[in-house]
Amino acid sequence: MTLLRRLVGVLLVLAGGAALALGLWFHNFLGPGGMARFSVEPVGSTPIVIEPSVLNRTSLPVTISVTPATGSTASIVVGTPSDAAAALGDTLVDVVGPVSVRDQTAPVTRRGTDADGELASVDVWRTTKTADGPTDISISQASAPETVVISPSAGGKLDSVTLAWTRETWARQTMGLIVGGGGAAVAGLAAALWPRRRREVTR
Amino acid sequence: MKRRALATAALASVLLAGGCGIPENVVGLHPAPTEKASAAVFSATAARQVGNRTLDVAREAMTGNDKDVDARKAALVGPALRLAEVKDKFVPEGQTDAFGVPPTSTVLGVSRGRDWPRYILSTAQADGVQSLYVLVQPDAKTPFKLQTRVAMQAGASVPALPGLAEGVESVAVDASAGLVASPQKVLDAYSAALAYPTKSRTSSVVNLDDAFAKGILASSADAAHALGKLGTFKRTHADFADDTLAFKLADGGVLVFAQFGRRDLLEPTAKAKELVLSSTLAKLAGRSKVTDHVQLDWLETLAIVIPASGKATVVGAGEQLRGIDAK
Repeated sequence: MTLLRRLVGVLLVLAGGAALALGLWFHNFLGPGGMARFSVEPVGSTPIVIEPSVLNRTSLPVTISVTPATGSTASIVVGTPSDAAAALGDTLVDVVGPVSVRDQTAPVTRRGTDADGELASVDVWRTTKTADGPTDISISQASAPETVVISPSAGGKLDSVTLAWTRETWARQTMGLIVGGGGAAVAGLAAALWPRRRREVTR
Repeated sequence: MKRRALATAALASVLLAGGCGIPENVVGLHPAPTEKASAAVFSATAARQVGNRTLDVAREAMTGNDKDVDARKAALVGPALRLAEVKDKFVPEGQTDAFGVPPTSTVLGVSRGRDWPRYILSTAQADGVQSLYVLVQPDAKTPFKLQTRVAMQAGASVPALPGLAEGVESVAVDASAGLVASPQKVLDAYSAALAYPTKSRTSSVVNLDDAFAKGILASSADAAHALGKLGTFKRTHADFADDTLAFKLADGGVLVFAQFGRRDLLEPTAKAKELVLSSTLAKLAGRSKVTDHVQLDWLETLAIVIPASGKATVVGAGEQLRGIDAK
C-alpha cells in the first residue's frame, strides 16, 4: 500500500506540477482579464488579410489593433468574404493563418501577384477606417462571416497588427489550473514523502 | 484512505480545471459561418453609408458650372451623366438644381445576391419635390455611381420594395411573367402613344393619364395647331435601352427606370417658306428664322410602376432640352 501511495503521490506531483506550470504560463499570457493576444507576423508594406477562418471561429468579438509605421497611414476595411475576394482579385496580400498559442503569433501566408491596389476606395466594404497612429477595430460576430483587410498607404508600412480575443472564463480556468495543479502537487508531495505511520511500523 | 481520497480529489480537480485543454471546448471553436447568397448585398447601415457617400460625390460633380468632365464621369453614369452633360444654356436660370442631389436621402432598397452590377435605390426631397435615385456599382473594383435621378410626379407613390435585409431583385427588361407586359413593351407602348402623329393615344398596357403624358400630348397638339398649314410637327421617342433598369417590388410588381431621347421636328411647308422662332428658341438656336427645319432634342427620364395586375403607371418623370438644330 505504501508503494502504491507513493506512486500515486509521484503521479500527482507530476500532473499537478504540469498543470501549475501550464496555468502560470497561461496566466502570464492571458493576464487577469483573460485576453489572448496574437501578433501578426511578419507585417510590412503588404496588405494584411484576415479571413473568417480566423475571425469567425468563435462567438467572441475580435479586437484588431493596428499601428502604422511613422509617417504611414493604415486603412482598415471590413466586408463579406466574397466581396473582399472580388475586390482583392490577384492583389499581393499576406493572409493571416491559424494562430500559434505557443508563440503568441498569427503567422501569415503570401498570396497574389499584383502589388497595386486601392482597396479602401472600393464600395464593397461594410466599414472603412483610416488611421495615422495606433488604432483598434472590434469585429463582432453579429455580421459574420467577414474579411478584414489592413493596408498601409502607398509607399508606407505597418508597424504591428495584433488580434485579441477576451474571455474572463479563461482567466478563471487559468487560476483553476494554478490552484488545482498546485494543490495536487502539494498533495502528491505529501503522499509521496509522508513518513509511515507508527502502527504500520509496529504491525 | 482519507489521504487517498484527498489525492484523488486533487487529481480530479486538475483534470477538471486543466483538463479542459481541448481547444474546441475551452475556446469555443466552431466552423466559420457561410455567407448568405440570397440576402441583400449590404446591411442597412452600410447601404446608407455607401448611398450617402455616392450622392455626396454626385452632388459635388454636378454643382457649379465648371463642367468638370472627369469628375462627372467618376460620379455619374447613364441617364444621370447624360443629364449632367447638358450644356448650361439649355438649363433655365434658377433651375440648375434640377440636376442636384439633396444632402440627405433614404435608402429604399439594395440589390439581392452577391453578383454585380449592384444597385442602391434611394429617395430624397428637395423644395417639396420627392425624387428617386438609382445608384449602380458595375463591378467590385468600381465605386457606386449615380445612374438615375427622376422627380416623382405629384401625388404618385411607389409600392413597397422588399425589406432592406432581404434585398431587391433585378428584373430583365423583356421579362413579362406575372405582369401586364414586360418593361420593354411598356416603354415601347408609352413612347408610341406619346409620339406625334400617333396611331393611337390609348394603350392596353400603360396608363396615359399621368401629368407627364398629358403635358406631352397637350404640347404636341398645341404645336401642331399653332403651325396649322404653315408647317409640320413630328415627335418621336427612342429609349436608351442599355440604361433601362427594372426591380421587383414586394407585391410582385416591377419598378422601371428608363430614359428616352425625344426629338421634336418642326418643318415649314412650302406655303410658309420660313418659320419664326420664339425669342427663347431663337436665343438657343442662334437664329430667329428657319427655312428648312428646327429640331429639338430632349431627354425624358421616367420611373414606371408595372403592378402585379393592371396597367403600368408613370410615377416619376422629367424632361430636359439638350440640343437644338435650326436651319
